[in-house]
Amino acid sequence: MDCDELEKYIPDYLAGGKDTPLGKNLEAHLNQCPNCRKEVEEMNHIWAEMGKVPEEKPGVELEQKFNVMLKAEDAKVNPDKHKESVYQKITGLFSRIWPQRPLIQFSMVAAIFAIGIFIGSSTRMSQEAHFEEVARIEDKVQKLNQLVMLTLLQQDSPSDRLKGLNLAYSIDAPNEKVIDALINTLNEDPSVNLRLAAVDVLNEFSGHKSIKSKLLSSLLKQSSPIIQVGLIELVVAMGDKNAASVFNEMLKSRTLDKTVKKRLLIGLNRLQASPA
Amino acid sequence: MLILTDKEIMFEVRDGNINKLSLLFERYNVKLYNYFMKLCRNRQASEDMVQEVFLKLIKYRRSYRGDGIFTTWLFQIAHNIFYDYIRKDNKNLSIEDDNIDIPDTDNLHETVAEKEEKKMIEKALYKLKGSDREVLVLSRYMNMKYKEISVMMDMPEGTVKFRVHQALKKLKEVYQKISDEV
Repeated sequence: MDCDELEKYIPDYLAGGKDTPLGKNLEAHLNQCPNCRKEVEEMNHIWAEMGKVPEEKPGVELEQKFNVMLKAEDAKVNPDKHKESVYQKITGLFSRIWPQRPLIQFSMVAAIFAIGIFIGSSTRMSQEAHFEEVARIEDKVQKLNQLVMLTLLQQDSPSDRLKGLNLAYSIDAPNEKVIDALINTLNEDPSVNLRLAAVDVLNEFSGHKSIKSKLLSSLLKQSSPIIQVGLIELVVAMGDKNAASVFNEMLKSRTLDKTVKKRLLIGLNRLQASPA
Repeated sequence: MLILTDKEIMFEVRDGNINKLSLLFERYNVKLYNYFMKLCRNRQASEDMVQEVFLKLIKYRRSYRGDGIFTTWLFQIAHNIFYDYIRKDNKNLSIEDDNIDIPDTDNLHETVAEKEEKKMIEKALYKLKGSDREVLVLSRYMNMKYKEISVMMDMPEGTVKFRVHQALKKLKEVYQKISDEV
């Protein structure tokens, strides 16, 4: 390769071609040509500096405007889907009075049941039977919440999945399916924001028997530094001593983000210092 | 949860399942926003153009055949929207204003010198002419391969590489000039 030919190959070299036969050929020339070596070093430096410029986030209005546009376009493409029958017009009127959010709907239904039961029980039931009945209703509401949450987490729309995550806060004692669905969101959801929200929700259930081991397994699967840091903090807050071996395993990685590395080291110190 | 590919989602949109477009929005809105911002440095215009891209995906959905890489098609649409924006308002792509707003990062681990260096490289980028800046944005920030850029911009791959090299050389000169002034 000569100096004129080198120019053609610099872009490939910068874009990840260092370990290719071409890259090796180029480096062989650079070892012999100080001028070319200087040029490539300068280009490399600029390329690296460009990579440090952070990604910018659009405002929240962008997503809101997109959703409005999408609904309007869907109505144009699928007008039958949006055509209202008489029945729908009546229920539409009712729905403008009735709250839309599932969490509030269930709360209102539960409250109405509870009030009805209370009124009935105050005239007919013994106090013990009354409390039993209320407990049964609360249990049914909890089960319904879990079912709605699991359904919402399976939806295509990210905002529906977010609603599912928010609904999880109303669940007092999640079953294994709920925990697994949250872990699945943490591991698989395409949205980093939703995965972060899943970390926050899992924090609420830190007392659940199977959660510690599942969080550690998840930590080993994560590649996003922001998720890794969130999980490290959660695991340390839970005081899980088993985390130390996972942290040490992660520290062996040569590609580990330096912020994550720092948090792992701080986490290890805290785990060692915490009571057994 | 089943994760659909870009093409599978676009086929669903083509077949009338318009709401599936929200999945592509989730995947690409930030990337597209950064593409437009690095070309024009105008937040409102960039957001409007991102919206326009998705509107065009709906408008052109019936003609989608799934040929080639989806992101190449997506950025081709974005590229055309951007040049319409330039032509419409007769805008100059070079951003000459030395006081262009480049936000500070909130990375506490960075030194002041590192933050300043980042700002200088961005300022240098915005001083390049539009066509130079675009090839650098596509290759460095949108992580598009030169072959994809060549399809997108309808030029030979060798020309794309040449333009990237020339643009980098100019960026280096401008960056050096800005560093010397500091």
